Amino acid sequence: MSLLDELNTSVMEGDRDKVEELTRQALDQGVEVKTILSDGLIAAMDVVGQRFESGEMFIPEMIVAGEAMTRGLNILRPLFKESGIKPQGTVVIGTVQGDMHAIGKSLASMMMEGAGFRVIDLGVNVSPEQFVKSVKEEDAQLVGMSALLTTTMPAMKATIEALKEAGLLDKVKTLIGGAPVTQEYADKIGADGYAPEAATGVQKVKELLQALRQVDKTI
Amino acid sequence: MNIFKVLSEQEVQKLHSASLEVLNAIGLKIASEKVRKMLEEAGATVDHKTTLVRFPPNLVDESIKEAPQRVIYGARNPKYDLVLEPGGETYCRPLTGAEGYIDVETGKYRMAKMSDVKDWARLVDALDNISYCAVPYPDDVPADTRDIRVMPVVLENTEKHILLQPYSGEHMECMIELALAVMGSEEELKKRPILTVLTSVLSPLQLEEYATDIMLIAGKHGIPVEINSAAIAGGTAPVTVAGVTLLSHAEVLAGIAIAEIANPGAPIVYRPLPLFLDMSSGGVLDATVENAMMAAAQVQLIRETYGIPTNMFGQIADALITDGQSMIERVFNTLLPALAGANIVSGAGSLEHTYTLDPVQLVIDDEILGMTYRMLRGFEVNDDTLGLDALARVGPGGNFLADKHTLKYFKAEYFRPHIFNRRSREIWQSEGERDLNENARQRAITILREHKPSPLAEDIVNELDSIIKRLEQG
Repeated sequence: MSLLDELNTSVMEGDRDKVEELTRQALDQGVEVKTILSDGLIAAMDVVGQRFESGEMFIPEMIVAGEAMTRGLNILRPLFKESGIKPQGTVVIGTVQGDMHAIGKSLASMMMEGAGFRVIDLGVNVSPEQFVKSVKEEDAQLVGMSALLTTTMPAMKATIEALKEAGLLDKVKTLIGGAPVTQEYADKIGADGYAPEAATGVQKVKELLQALRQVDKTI
Repeated sequence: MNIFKVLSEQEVQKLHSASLEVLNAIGLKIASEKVRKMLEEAGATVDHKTTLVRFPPNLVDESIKEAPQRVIYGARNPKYDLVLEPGGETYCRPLTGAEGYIDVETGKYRMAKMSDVKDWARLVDALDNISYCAVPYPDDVPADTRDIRVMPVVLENTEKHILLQPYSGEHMECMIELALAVMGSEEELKKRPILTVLTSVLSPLQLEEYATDIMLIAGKHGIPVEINSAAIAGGTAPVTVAGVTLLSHAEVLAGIAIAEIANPGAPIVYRPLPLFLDMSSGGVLDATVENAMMAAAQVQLIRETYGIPTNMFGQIADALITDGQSMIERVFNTLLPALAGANIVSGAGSLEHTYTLDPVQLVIDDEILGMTYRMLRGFEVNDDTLGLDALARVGPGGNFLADKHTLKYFKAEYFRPHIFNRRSREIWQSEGERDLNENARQRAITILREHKPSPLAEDIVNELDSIIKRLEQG
């Protein structure tokens, strides 16, 4: 098995330490950063994504594979600039103010990380101001908001308004999700996107960021 | 999982002694002179003129004790062999002998054809939770020999064990000949019989000659017999739940006793099927909530007395179509006997009492059975399954999504149906708003398009053909 094939397999199997080791080994052997990234890491996650879609793989396996991929990615990231790689976007995510429910948001967050995004997870009960601050500090391209309660959904609207007031809405996309949230509500409050299921949120993120033309399609 | 009990210890005793009393004091009319003579010799009181045979309790008791508690249902492919034993696995087969069929393409009712037998066997072969095969009886072949004619078709289209309903002793012999062609020798067939047959007592308290012929011939060759009694409360049995439970139980016991007196140790499966007369229409009902109770009671009764394998009706419906009613009826009727410890809960795919089979219902029954087996498996309570270590690792406010404990258990702990809608409304809408029946229909169509059981060897196919040709020539 070639080194990159082995890296592929290790990502799919979620073997975090091995992915780290093999990524380093590939760099030592002079394999191009771009090649390690696309053929070793991203290609594996594409297969994982397909297997998830077809029902052969499940969320825990996908997350572990994603964590393994991230370990490799973290080694490569500092080398992106000199290799001419545009990073996959940065996502700021959190459960909105007044809402303490973490699991749906955490699931979405882990899945996005597994898809190669840089994810800043602000946790639960995140105020509009905290979202705004984080978008500025992290130079994020997407804000993901989660709410489980109908009573906390208005905090999504408040957050979007805060982003607008801060003049960030032209450079950042907004994505909302959570059990009571609907496309209709997303349209009403001016959110750019809505994900009906935490596990499928990743696809929405990709679509929105591609729309922003922030993503290099090669990775 | 703890066993579910309908009856108290006293009620079991009462039913048991009452059943022996029915066979002793009232007796059965038995048409076969050969069988009457055999029973007379064994100690029964026989009136050859009226054909009435009365069984002393000891005779019934002693002979039923000859029946094995462990019965093997062999299969063409040994991986599908089934072991029926007390406390063992629970299995399922479809209903046998239905003449009506729901066309999977059009959804319309029509008479079953030989091509449906083939499709049905392939569906059974592909569905994991349907343990062995029984098929519709088609109307496009001569009716008097269709019981035999379906057999090669079933053998070619499923690798699983098969059940048939022979019309006579002669047909039983022919089925054995066909089974031998597949298994090679009497010895192999006896060790792993690939065929089970069903035969019935005629309520109230009569045994036709063909029925005892089948029992005797099957027993001689080690072919398991599912002995059936379809006593109808208020029609051919006392109207009460207890009364029809008693009669159908007693009738099956008589059948088992006869089979064991003829061939001690012959594999037998207890299969009473108490029914109700619908006092508003005069029709017969199979799938009432009382049926479910009776099935559970009879499983308990036989388990606590003789411990021989049981096959109770489970996926059964009085509903004419695969709808909410058919689901309610079959879930009650599957769950109760299964929880009581039945070895087999059968009837998959059936509608309209026992007259019609529907591939869509069969695919749905595969899910109902998957859930039933999962429930019977129960769940383990130990330090590891309690997840105490995982809980300590994750702590307050964390999540278990990618914890190693989650990865270890998430697959085995939960049953995942193939055809349930569990996604969000938006996804469901975007995928065409398909309901359960439509998902089942799509799965059936996919299986029929893609699933190919491994073929029989050519020389076996030729031999089966030549046996059927001889049958056609009379």
